[in-house]
Amino acid sequence: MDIKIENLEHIYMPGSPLSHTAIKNVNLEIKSGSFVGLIGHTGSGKSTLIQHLNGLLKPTGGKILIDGKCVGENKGDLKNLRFNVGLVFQYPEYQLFDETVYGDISYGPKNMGLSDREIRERVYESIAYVGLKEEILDKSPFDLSGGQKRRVAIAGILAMKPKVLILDEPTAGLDPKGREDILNSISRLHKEQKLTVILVSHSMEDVAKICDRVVVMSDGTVAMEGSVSEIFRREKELENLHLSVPQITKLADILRKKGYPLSNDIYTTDMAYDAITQLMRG
Amino acid sequence: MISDITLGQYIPGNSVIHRLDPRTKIILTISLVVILFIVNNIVGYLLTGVFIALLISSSKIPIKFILKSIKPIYIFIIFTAVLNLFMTSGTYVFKYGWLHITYEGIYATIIMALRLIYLVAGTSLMTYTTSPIVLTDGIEGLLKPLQKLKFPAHELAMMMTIALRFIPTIVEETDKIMKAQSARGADFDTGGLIKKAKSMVPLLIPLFISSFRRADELALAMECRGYHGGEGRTKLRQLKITPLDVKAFLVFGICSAICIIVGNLDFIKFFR
Amino acid sequence: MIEIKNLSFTYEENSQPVLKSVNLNVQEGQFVAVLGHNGSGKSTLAKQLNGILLPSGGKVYVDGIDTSDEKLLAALRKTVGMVFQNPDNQIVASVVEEDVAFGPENMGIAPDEIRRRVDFSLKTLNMYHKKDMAPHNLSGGQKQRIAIAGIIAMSPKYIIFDEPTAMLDPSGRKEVIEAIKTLNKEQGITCLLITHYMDEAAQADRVIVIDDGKILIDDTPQLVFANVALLKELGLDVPQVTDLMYRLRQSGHALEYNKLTVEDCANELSKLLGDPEKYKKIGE
Repeated sequence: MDIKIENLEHIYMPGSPLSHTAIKNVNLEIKSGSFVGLIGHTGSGKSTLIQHLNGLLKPTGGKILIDGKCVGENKGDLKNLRFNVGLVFQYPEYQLFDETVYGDISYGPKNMGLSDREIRERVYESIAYVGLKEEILDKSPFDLSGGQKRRVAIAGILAMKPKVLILDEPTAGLDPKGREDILNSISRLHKEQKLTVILVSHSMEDVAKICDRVVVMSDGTVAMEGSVSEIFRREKELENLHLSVPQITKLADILRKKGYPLSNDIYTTDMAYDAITQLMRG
Repeated sequence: MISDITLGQYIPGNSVIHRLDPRTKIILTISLVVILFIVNNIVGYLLTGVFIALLISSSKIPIKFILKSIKPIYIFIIFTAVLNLFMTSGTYVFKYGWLHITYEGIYATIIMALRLIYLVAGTSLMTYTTSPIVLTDGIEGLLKPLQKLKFPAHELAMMMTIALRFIPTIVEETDKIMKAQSARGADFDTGGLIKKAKSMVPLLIPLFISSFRRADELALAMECRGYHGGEGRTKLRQLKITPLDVKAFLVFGICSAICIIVGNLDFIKFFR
Repeated sequence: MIEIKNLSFTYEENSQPVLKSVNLNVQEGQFVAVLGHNGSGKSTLAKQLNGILLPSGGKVYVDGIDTSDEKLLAALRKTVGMVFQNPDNQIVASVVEEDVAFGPENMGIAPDEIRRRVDFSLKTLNMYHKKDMAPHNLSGGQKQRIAIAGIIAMSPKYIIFDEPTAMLDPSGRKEVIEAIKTLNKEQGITCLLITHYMDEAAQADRVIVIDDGKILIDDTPQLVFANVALLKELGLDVPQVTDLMYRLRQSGHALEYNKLTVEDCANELSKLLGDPEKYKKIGE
């Protein structure tokens, strides 16, 4: 699904004394099958933006076109949009409610009106995708560990088989092992299912590792947009927005300033390792 | 944003009424309610109305806020007015079949409506000029003597404090869970009563679970900060009765005495 | 001084022990980071230090106070403060200064002294200008600083931070870590920081790694982070530059292992690479 955002604007409580413009002049195009990292500090409008993509918020100005069709034109489409654009909120484990993991994951598919057989298939498929064992399906979600709960909640969105998957800081509050597991699952989904993924993250290292495009939000607008290497080359601009580049990019930058001929395209440990060993080999 | 909701209706200010001790304001508001039921004739009510109007003007609270606070109960005022108007027996002004209006009915209607309006205006004047947290302090201060009789005054105040603190947090959370379930196709708006009630389950269960978790963590944090109930506790903000409060009591006492005396003069009750 | 002697702990009888004969001493004025993945027992250890949990075996002493002595519990809580992960769930009052006063109020301190302490701790945490705000209108980092101010107002000698940055964004994390460092360096408060983030642990004087209820490593940050293979095996995260230095060392390059910051690593690498001039030709 291609997403096109034109001149999007959202004002909370317009006309009241508490009125507050969360986003304005947002123009953005997200091609089907891309993996976009959405970065920007708290309050830059990221959450407001992603809630427009599945129609949870209605624009107060501008429009969103999904596969050429304008969102919100027709009320019946809204529900379908929610199923096509899966949104995983921050700390999604807090929305678990059913007695069993199975029941919770099947909530979305049930709302879609699917047959029991179809629902069953989808539940098993999505639980495998997030790397959990089938035995867990009969357990209560509240007896699981934090990382497992998080994965069950993500499986609940995957079971709707969305074409676009949006995740708002899916690794927040997890330990390193839990963070890696979730990022790997998302990366695999993107490759195998050709899902369009939008990942909201504060970790430049994570974005560098798994995304192919980056959108930088600041003060309610899109400040930068481009491929990962295009964005992380612009260290100064990012710093002006109170954002940083991956640690390894900083290292390469210092070495380049010392006079070593390193490319300005280094943002993962692998890249740095290869570049340095190559330099020494001559 | 939903988290911006203001709690209670406190309007910050520095008027005489704002500066009164919360205990003074609570006692005087309760006295006002009592007076409203002692006053017995129309002149007494008009006089009380003037008195309340003076209080409102000295608080510098815009009159439209007071009117706004009366709005939610106007249906109730009309309902009691209609009951009084048609159900009171006495000298007929108008009669058609079983339907009748009496002089006594009109009189009772006016008095009842004024009583309700004054009641709401008076109490909202207190909540407009006192922040919820100060009000809580005031209630705790007033109930403290009852602690000797094992009345849990401190616990009650602590409960109110925590409720005030967590209402915005939980409102925000409700909004978030509703959105999260909507993203999974939940529908909170359409359908009959049973379907609606059922659709609330995915909202209420997470909300309860998270509230219990919060309560648990808060209890732990409070314990770590040395909380052990009200015994031996001191307070940052000390309630103090100032000369202003004494003045307020005097002025209020004189004015209400006038209202009560005038409100009970028999010759004014010319309708009875 | 905190002395932990042969501490073991089991939540319920007949279940797996969470802590297994832990021995640890923390000197006054130290800044100690505790690392370990979820379920390693690090939070359980923290809760032993101010008597929220009591040892199933062994003893914990803080400044000579036995944590299992109920009569000394109030004194213990005054000595050891604790800051938790979720800032929302440790703030009691709906006005900032009122919340900071909560601890001193519980201690029965005189009102003007409470006022002095509240002002002092809010100023220390750089939050004095927010003293009349409602906590729910503050950012995560600010809320956490209010929670810390609430502890400082009780003037403890030790503060245990149980993953205080886990729920914060990068700027909030930075604010909180800076606050902890200030408290340690300027007020001389002994700080024990439980965290998942290596870059935070790297700023401590001493790093302890806990796994499966036991202390596995207890050393300076430099020496702990040199052991990249072990850290990875334990499911702990390793900063990119540390990982790079490790991999270069593994492939036989002579690099010092005790470099943690980006700048130090860059200097170390330029030592290894030698004169930049000799690479210029290749580049051209």
